[in-house]
Amino acid sequence: MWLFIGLFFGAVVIFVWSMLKNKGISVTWYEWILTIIGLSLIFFTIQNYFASLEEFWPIAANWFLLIAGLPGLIFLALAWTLIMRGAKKTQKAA
Amino acid sequence: MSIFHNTVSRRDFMKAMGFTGVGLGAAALVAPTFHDLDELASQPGPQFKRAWWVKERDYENPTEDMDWGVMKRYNDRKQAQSTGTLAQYPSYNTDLQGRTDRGNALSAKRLTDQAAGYSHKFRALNNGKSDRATYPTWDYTGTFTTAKDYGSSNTALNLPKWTGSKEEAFNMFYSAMRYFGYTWLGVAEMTDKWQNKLMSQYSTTGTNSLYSFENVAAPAIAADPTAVSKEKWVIPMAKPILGIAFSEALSPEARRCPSAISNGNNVIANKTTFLRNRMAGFMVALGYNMFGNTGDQSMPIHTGIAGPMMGYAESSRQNNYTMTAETGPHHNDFTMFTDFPMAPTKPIDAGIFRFCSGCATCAKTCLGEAISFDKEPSFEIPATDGLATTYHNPGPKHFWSNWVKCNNIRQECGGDCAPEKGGRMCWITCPMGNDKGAMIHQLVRATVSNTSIFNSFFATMEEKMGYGPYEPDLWWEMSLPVYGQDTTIGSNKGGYSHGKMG
Repeated sequence: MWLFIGLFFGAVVIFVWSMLKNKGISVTWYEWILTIIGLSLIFFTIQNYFASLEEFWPIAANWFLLIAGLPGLIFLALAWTLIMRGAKKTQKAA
Repeated sequence: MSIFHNTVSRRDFMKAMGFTGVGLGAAALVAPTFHDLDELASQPGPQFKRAWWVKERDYENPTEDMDWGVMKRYNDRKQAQSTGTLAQYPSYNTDLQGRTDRGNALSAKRLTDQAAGYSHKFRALNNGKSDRATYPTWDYTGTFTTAKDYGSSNTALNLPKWTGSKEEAFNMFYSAMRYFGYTWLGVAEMTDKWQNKLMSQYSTTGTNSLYSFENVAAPAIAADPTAVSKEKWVIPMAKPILGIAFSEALSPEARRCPSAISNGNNVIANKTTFLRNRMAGFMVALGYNMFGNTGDQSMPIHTGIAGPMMGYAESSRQNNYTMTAETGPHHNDFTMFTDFPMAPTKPIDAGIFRFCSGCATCAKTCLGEAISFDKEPSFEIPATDGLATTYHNPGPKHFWSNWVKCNNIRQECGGDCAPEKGGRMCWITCPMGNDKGAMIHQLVRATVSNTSIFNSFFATMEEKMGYGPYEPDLWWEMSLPVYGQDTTIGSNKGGYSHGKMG
């Protein structure tokens, strides 16, 4: 599973990186940190969710969606919003 | 013209979502997805789980082609393990004696030269591997009569006593023990503390013996001069004697699916007998000895103290029952003595005993209220029914269980602790006995080992997240390891490497 997740993640990183570069969007250090935290939480959720199901603990699996997956999505959404807001300001200034 | 107010177009966004969908789809394809226990239990059963690239074919259609028109029932008398069959063919008969002589000479040379793979330690390992019905209990000689390839003792093998460093000796002993089926090894020199503080003085009434350290050459049994017991069992101290504790990983699921198999140690193979016989065979071929009675009521080394002192486990709130860093309470120990000079093992700190201060899950779930709820361990042993407690030995700072209550609830519940489902709740619910698949378990273990500030939080989350007993019938749906035991624990060879994480 992690091979596929790694391939997928690599493709997303390349896609986002090239998109940001092409459109001249700069990302601040705190936006990177938010993104890294968000992605770490998402990976943590994926691992624990599937592993908990394999361990026959479905309640624990759902807890991981709530306590790690949801914050992970919030972090990513926050990072995305800030990046887009920054890009908008840059474009307006230009 | 600059791009409209959003720098990511809808097309870009949908493309990204497409990647996401593909990724999640791939993840879903390669991982089993269960949404609830009913769905999980409705799976067709454990079966033998193979990798996804192993495909199933139709009945009677293996990967080799079969000409069913030609095939007839075979006469096994004609197969090649029969000398009569081989002798039909000239190439077998040509130089038969010469071939046999050269083979025997090569075998003898390998033994004489101590060739790689035929050194003393391999021959000792083979000596232990051969099936043995007995072992020396409380003497050095034993009855080794079933030796196969290399004889039994070092003298029978025409070899001197094995010599080497204590570290090398430990490694040999440990590797042999693992090969013969046990998981953890503890070794202790019989120092003054062991002889005068830690060792039991008398066995239980049934075994009826006084344990006596004496300056003699070999273990012996004689009349008890104190007249408290029937016999005295002499531990010889004329040469250095080591106490050894063997411990094997048990089957957590046999306990966590509370059922008729949950009682006691739940081992399916009598590996205690299996191991001690083989280890004794291994020792005698090296020129050394093992002795002891292995039972926790017939050996002076108490397993509740062996684990913490020898370092394969830590003490716990469950008092008598120690916890390994890898399986928590799910292990089974026995002890012996040896004169094989090995490096002793040191106590460990995985934060388990500290964790018990912040966690009282076992105490909360014990219907007999036998386990202490104290926030911290204490030197003070509480009274039992208003009387002095004789079943604890003062000295350690412990969580003191009430073993009378423990006994009573087990009697009340037909040998178990939980009347509805059976099983021993302290072992079932202990967070230290959790699985290792989900990353969180190792994260908790690593955190607990380094700081105690999250201990209560972890214990609370353990309950909230639904860990504890499984539904008993789920046992039949789990594809469990052979014997239900994780034999990869402690394995450092790549290929079994998940054992490295415990």
